[in-house]
Amino acid sequence: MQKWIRWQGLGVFVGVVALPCIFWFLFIDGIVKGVIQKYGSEAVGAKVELRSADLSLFPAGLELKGLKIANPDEPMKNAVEIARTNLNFDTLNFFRRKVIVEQMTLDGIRLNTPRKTSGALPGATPKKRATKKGTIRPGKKKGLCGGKGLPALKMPNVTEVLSKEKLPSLELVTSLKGQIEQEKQKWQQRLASLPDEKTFQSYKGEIQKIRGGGAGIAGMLASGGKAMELKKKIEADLNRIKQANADFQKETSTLKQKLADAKKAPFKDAARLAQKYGFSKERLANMSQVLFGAKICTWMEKATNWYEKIRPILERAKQKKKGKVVVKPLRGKGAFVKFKEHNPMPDFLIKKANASIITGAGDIMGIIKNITPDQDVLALPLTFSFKGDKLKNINLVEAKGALNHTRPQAPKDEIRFLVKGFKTKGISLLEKSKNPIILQKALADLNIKALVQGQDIKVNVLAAFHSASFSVKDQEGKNPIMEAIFSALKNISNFIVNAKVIGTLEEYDIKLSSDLDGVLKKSAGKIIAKQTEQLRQKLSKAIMDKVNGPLSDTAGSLSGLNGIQQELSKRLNLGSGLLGNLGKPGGKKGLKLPFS
Amino acid sequence: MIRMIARLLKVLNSESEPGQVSLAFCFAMIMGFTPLYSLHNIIVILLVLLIRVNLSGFLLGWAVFSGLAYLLDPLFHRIGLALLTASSLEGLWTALYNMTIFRLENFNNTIVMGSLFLSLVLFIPLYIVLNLGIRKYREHILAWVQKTRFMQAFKASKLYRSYQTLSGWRG
Repeated sequence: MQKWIRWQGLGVFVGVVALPCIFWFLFIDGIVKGVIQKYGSEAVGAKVELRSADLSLFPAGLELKGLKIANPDEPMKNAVEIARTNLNFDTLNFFRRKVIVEQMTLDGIRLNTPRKTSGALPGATPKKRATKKGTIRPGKKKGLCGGKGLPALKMPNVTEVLSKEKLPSLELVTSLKGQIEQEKQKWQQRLASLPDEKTFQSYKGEIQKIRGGGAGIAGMLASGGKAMELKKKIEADLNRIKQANADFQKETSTLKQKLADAKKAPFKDAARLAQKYGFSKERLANMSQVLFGAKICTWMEKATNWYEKIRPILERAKQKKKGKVVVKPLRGKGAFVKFKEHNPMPDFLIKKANASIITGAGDIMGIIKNITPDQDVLALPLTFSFKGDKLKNINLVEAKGALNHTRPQAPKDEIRFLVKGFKTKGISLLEKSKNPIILQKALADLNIKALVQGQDIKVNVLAAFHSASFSVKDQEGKNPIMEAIFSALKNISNFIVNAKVIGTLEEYDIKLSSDLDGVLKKSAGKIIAKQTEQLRQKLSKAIMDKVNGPLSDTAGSLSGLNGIQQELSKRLNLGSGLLGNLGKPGGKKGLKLPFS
Repeated sequence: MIRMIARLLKVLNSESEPGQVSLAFCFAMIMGFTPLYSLHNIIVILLVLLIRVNLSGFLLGWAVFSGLAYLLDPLFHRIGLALLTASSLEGLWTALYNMTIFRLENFNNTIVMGSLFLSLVLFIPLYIVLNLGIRKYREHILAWVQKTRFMQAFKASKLYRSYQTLSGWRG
């Protein structure tokens, strides 16, 4: 036995085991600090800095001081700064490799604080939003955010409008002229194919011959037969001319109608263009979209961005192998296969976090419960509740919500945000316009309800403003429409704006309505109607100037068809006269031909 | 490299029992194949220090098997995954999964399971083969090798001097 056992080895073993423990107590805090900074920075895409970390095992806990997380999109700002973070772990679960935080305290949270040095990581670019299915792509927004642009608040220049637009009236006149010329040619060819004066002269000669025909009964019978034959020929020719005349009448009547339409066309063009370029009443009816749309769109984009940043905390990638859940491994580190637990607990859970956010207006206190990426294991949603009252410029701010991912295939997140008595100051509306309208001051009450189910989003924003006053920066000199809108806004002190966002996180539509719309429509409507009518008249005149020349030419061409009409009438008269003469007695023998 | 060969020769030629040398290599295989920070490795270290195995052989074997483990990681992962997802063993794994000590052991990691399983399976066969090999080497090859001209020349070389230096160390 003694040959195989070396008892002094036991002492060495104790030394070997003690060494890492000593190392732990001496260096673990520095290691934790380094790990948080390294992996935090990698995850955020910007610098994560920590002043100190203190890890203890009995009782298990961690205290972080001076945590600063830089904003990857604005490196000279910290997205979040937390003065002190204290976590108490469940020791037993900690040894089972489960981080279960019973209580977490976040003291002195500050958002968007300035940095002295850049928080950008060397060589790193701001993180783009993922493009795979189920995640956000950069702003493809319908409606307000789709870049429809603000309507022009001044009447456009007529010359500019006409240089941009094609005029159907001018095209109509030009094509009509071509059509008339074609008709002219066609009728000249048809006239040539019809019996003319020569033809009728030859018939006249034949009649003379028949009248001077043979004497006696036999002679008279022969003349009668010839006369009948000639009569039929003349009647057939006359019918051809009559048919041509009827066709001609019909076609000229159509052309005259088209000419009449062409004369009206410039006015139609003017009305259409005035509607398109003018500031119509209908557009005034959507003034709330124009005034608040861009702002709400920007807020929505920021909100969806933050939501996408938070969402991975609630869900993590898992795959199943033969029905077992396998958490994705790091390369070369293997994979962890999970089995059913008697008392299932997530790998990471913060049961309760108390947070105090320091804002310029005052402190906002809140509680967040059940922070875990494994809500399906915990079977409880993340809930949060923040409240701040009697703040500077805000009477009450409250945010409550539940992010429910307990069924990962059907996540449902609900957030409610309430603000009461918010004293707004200098909110610039129509920022992209040359005449920005400024909501100088107002007392606002906001009620926002947001629901995200999978990729579908539904948000309802109800904002009620009291004691409002507007001003306008008139950079373009006097503008009657702008003045009309502004004079209407001057008399408004209370108004409500309602925004409804419906769609998916990738593509949503914002619909805005407000009682401002009706007021603005009523107050500025008359001026707008007058302005639009002036524009229409100017456009009519300008279009007529362009169309008048070609129109006169076209009318002249149509008059040119009168010659054809005269020729047809002449031939009809000749034929009819000849047929009439055949019925009368003539010649020396006074023979009356049997035509009449 | 020279020191490595010298160490090997020292271990093989040492006064240690062949069983002590073989056992050292077998423990080294467990320690080298499985991830270092595994709970069972504390037991391996305790056994290596408590049982009179050849420490030089253990350290040499650990270095060799650790190197091999890098190449065999995909194999360990496959074996581990197959074992952990075998429906017949589900009850056993579930029971172990609910015990803190086994969670600390990381038994549900595919590489830990695969490498530990393979090294335990190979433990006894390797012990027998090495034991036999060392005995044969000492009986037949060692004396013959000592007499060869090559060995004479080798004894005069730098390599042998390294070996001599190391032979002063206690195994």
